[in-house]
Amino acid sequence: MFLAKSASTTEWRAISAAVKTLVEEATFEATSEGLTFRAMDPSHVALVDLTLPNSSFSSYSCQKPTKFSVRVEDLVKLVGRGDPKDSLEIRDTEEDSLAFTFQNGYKREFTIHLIESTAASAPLPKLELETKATLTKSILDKVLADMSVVADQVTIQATKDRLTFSGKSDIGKADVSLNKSDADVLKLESAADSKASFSIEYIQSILKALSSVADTVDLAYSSKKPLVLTFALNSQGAKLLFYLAPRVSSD
Amino acid sequence: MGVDFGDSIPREKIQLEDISGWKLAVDGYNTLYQFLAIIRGMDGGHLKDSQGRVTSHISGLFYRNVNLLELGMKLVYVFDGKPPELKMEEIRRRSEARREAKDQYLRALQAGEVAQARKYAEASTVLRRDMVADAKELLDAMGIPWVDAPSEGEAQASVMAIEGSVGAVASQDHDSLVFGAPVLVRNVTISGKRRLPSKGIVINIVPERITLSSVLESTGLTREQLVDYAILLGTDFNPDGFEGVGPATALKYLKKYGKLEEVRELSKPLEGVDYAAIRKLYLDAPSIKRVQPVWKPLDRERVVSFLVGEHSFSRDRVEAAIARVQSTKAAQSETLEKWFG
Repeated sequence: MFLAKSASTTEWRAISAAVKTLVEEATFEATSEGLTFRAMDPSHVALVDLTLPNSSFSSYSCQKPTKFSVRVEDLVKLVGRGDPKDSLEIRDTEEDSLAFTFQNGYKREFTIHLIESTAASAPLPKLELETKATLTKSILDKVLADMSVVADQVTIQATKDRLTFSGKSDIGKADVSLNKSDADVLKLESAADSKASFSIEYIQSILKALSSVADTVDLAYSSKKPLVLTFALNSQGAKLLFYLAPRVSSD
Repeated sequence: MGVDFGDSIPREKIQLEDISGWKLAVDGYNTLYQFLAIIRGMDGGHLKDSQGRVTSHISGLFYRNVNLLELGMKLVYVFDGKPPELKMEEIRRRSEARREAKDQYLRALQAGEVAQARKYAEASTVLRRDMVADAKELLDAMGIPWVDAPSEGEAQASVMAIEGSVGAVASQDHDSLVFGAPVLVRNVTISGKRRLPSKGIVINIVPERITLSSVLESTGLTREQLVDYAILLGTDFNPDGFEGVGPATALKYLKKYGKLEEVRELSKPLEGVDYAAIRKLYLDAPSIKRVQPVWKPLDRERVVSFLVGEHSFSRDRVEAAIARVQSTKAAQSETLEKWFG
């Protein structure tokens, strides 16, 4: 018996939108500790690692470890039917299905059939990253929009007290510099100067998917290593980590 | 070889650029055969490396893949598995034809008839197991996925197209439509100028796209009737078809009687053709479901070591081709595997 109840549908809407940026089928793993999901996109450039500890639900129970595979498009449509103020209860039913119950006064219940998924769970990259920063989501949105005017990749350079974003192409170039003291920079720690380039599109799509839950983003990376964005989905420990492989650097 | 609906179905001429960025399931054996048949020296002999091993197939595969990767296409090669029992007659005939061609090739060569020799050489093409292994090694190095089908490769490719893991099947014959693939593209791996040795002329081969929906619409057949249509014209599982039955007649019969076994006018009795088994093969062929192909960046060192180091390819040409692939957008990202440790 599995049951996970959330006070709001906001997290699930964000989670399903985030998963949709990567894969068409998703397998969630449930244990007594909570619910997890991890998958890479087909090109193996990006990975999402989602952790929803049991404490992040208003009520949670899972008697034995179980996996639930769903078609992500169905999940997006289904949780999209919930209003932000609805509570959402997800439980397994006998015939290989998941029941979703929205409640805000009256009840609405949906059941979707689980699918058989052959996708193997992705391992987690092993990384020690030297630059760590916390930015407001709004400044990151703005910087990426600036870069995308001229380029499809952004180069991020970090020093102890400054974070520089630059984009360059045949069209021209764009540069934005953020200082440690700026209001939008909540934290900046850089053990060593770091420089790496990443796809703007990948970052923009995950930011867009999570726009309703995250006001700030934790960012970690090192020279020529992946970028890790960490989003807190609620204040009870639910979080989503987004890993993005760097672009091949020419220098 | 394979189902040929000829001009009885609608097709649309396209440019390779029109399908740039598409994911395509490609018949592996078919492609390698083409390269082995076409890529030959003047006397009809294959290209060989310094140790005398045939390299026509990997040369063709490499340069053709480079062109398609440069267009941003994502290919997944599908190799045939165990052929269905029903195909044994066709396979016997093919190997018989190859043996005969081989004899004639040798005779022509002795007689010094170079043009004849080349023509027979193409028809005698045999694909050996080690050549397939070479091709798979090259595909791995190029980051191009491949799938071993449990049985017919065309069936596997079609299932992948139905499931949406690829946008189309790339093949030469029309079987994938009968297997239910929504979109077939032809002449993708061999487009461009091609010499027709049997006629001694050069023709320009243009890629074309055929959709199942337009085929069903224009012929007025159902998917099930399309299978019967193929059987009437002849498939790999009943290579002779029916005497005197061409596309127009076959269509007329199916419109009049609905299905194959109701057709009264067939000259040959239907008992000789296991149409129920053939139908089942086309409508429910053995295949692996939900294959998720993974495309990786081309591994430059591995490609160079395989082609230049092992098979005596020109380093300059290989490096130039790799540079063309690596300058494309899709090749510009690392993948996360590098950090899985």
